Amino acid sequence: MKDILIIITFILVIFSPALYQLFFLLKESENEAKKILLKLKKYVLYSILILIPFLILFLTLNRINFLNYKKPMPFSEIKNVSFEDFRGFEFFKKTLYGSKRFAYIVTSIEVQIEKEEAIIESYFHPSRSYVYNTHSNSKELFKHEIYHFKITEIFARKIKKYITKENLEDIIQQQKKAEREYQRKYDYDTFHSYVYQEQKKYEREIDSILLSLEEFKNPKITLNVTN
Amino acid sequence: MSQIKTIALVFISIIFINCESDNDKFPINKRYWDTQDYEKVTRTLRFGTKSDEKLPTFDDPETRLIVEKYTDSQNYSIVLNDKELGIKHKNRVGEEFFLRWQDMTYVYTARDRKDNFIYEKEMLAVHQFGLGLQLKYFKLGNDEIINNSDSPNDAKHTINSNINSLISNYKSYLDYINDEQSFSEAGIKIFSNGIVKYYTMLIKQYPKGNYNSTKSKMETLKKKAKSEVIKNSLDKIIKLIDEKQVKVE
Repeated sequence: MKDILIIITFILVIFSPALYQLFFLLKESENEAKKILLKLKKYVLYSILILIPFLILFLTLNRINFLNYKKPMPFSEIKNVSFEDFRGFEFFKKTLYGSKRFAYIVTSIEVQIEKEEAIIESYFHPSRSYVYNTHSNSKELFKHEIYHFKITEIFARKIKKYITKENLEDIIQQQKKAEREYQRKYDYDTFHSYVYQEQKKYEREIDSILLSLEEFKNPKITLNVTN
Repeated sequence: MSQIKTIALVFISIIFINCESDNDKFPINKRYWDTQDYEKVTRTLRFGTKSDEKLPTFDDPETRLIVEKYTDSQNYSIVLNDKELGIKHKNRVGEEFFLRWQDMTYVYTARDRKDNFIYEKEMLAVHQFGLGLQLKYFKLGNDEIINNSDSPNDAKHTINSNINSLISNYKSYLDYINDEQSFSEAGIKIFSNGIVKYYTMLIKQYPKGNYNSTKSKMETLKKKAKSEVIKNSLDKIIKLIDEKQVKVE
């Protein structure tokens, strides 16, 4: 069943009392109509009031699964990540290019500036990441997703490499933008790991870049005036 | 009152409108189509259209992308040429593509009342898609046989038998010459280019293959063919076969 039909059915159920009144309104004469119109307005209002909390709950759950929450995991814990940590809900997207066996990972770079120091760390967000089956044994799918996390770490390390007291915001924005572009290119070139040859190429490249930035592994850095 | 009636009608109409777009039926935005896509698209083209409904064609700007994607050899090459994938996996995918292609060959075969092919360009593109596919699929099959056998000699007989099957499969493309009158000039040109392109690739890949029956069929059909373009393309391949045979001897 299409998602849009599910949504329409849900809205129809919520608005059914109002629709019921609408049906009478269409049937009734001009005199009776005013009465029913008032009733209709009342039911529409009640329906909207019922719908709003549902909508908030639904949209929040779709963004972050607070019912099965796990706090964001830093890159230092990457080895502990498994598909069982992909706890997010996905109500809208049921397939990725026709395949139900898909996953996505949500990662971020968190920056904390404290006078002379900065803590810059990449995180994986379990309750916002999704996999079609948390017990999936698809190593290829998992590897593709985990390399998204590694890409985020690359750019977190790059921020640590280039950041100074003077260029803080510019470097952060610049590297975050570069990260988004790299993530997109990674998905496009590997076509979400379907092009296995490209996937392997990226894995080698990402591992190599990460290794070259090994000295910026530590989240905490001292901010200098110049780099 | 009349305003409310209009709003209600519009609302109800929106609900009951079937929103299925072409993109749902034909995933043209998807970078590579896999065998499942081919299965769905072929099913739609074969059974999901009315008998007089126009199928996607190269000449129609609205549907050109669909048929281009449908006959794009990149869809199988991206998997079958992948150096990182295992040979067994590639073979399995190759086999699935081969099966899907067999279904595809039924899509564009319609003729008009004068027996002319309505979709000649598309029909030939589908056939050529299969010729390219078979070249890769049979090669993978043979590579797997070599991998699984104790010595290359053990596998020789099966491999030769596979190559003969491939050469025999290719001959079905030549059968279109019997339908020469059902093609337009443009169609004949596409068909003839296909003979040269795909037979050259086949002979280059298997120079030691047995092309006696192919050559004999080509010579017979050359006598039957009216088009000089077809005759020329057949001549080129016959010459190529002769050259290869001399080299092999």
